[in-house]
Amino acid sequence: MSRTTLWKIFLVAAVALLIVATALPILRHSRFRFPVIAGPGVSRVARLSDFAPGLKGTRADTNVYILEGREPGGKALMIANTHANEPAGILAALIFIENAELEKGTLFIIPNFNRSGSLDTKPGDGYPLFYHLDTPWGRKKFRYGNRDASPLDQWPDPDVFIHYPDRQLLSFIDARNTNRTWPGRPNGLLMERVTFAAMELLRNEKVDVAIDLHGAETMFPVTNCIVAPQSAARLATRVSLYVKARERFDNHVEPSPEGFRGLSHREIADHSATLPFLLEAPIPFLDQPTGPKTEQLLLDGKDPFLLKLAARKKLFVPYDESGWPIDKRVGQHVSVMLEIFSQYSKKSPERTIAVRGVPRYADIVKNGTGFYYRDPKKADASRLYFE
Amino acid sequence: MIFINNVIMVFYYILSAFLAFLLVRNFVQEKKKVDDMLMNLIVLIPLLLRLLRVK
Repeated sequence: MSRTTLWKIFLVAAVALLIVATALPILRHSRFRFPVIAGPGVSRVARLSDFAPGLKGTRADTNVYILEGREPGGKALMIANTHANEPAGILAALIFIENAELEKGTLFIIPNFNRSGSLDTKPGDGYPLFYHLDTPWGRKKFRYGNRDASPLDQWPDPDVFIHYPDRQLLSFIDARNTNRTWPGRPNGLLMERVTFAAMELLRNEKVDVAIDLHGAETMFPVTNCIVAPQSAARLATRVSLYVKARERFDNHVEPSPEGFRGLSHREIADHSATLPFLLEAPIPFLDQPTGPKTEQLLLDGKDPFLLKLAARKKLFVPYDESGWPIDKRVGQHVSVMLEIFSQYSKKSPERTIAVRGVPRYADIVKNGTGFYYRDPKKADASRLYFE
Repeated sequence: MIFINNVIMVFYYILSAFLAFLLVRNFVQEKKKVDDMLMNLIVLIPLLLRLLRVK
């Protein structure tokens, strides 16, 4: 065998090894699915494409868990993983799916709204591919996704994203951001079809309240808050005051800007009768000046650099050695949502949304988020779904 | 617009396949320079990952 052939065999083997070592974890990540158990309150599970067929057969189509009450009442939609790198939302949504029972009204839950983004990652930013939560039956593994949809599903990106229908010019990357493509259109870009399907759900089902769950950097002013348009501001203020008084955590109200298009809280208010709320929980992991982007930072939110910045009053949330643990963030989301349902029901008794079986902030902080997830090994196979 | 996007996406896959073919051919035909052999293989990586829809 010639020297050239030997070199070629060696190089092919080395590069193949490099490809396998780097691509295999990414492939495993995108193919990993974690189990979700439809709890006692889930009456059926639909697909988002049932509300707008333009999504059918795409990787953006996703599950809609529907919890119907014993008595009729109001209707609410809960959306998580609009940005799949902000995990408090999906963890809170799963607590509802696995535990909630509706006494009155209907609750639609989309735990993996930007499913395409959840199948992607951001290796350039050193994102961990997975994170784990302790539960009474072992560790539950979750896929950590990306903010935007995968370019494998929606490509090419435009030079500038022109928002539909307002024609506002937005960043090119926002074409794949499901919190910039609202209200969407039936034959638009894939992410516009995702938000259009959600709009169809809101309009056709006459949903009263929509809640979009997010996380935001501690150095970003719109964090630890409820974002609401004018139509929902009064209700949001009551919720903020009630959780502060009863549950001792801050969640201030931010107005939805009228001139910034494509956001869920803006477009849902302008294109439907639904009252929208967007909840932001702090997520130190997404701040730029932190240490390594580890799974631990994602879950406990403890970072020495943020601590120094907090001492110099550069953060928009209180921050100390305890960081911002995931249980606190999930607990805030869950309690604020329960309070939104409660306050809305007081305002419109004929459209009551009465939920039971869901823990509140103090319970989740005390017991941990994983405490409220059911063991998939003990679940009836017919109640088992994969996200 | 969506139609044009789809055409560009398909064209991109065809282009990736064509460039991958050229790189593999250059690699096979290279007889002396190990640097060039390695360069061809390294440039091939992102094209392969896109064709296999990994990244």
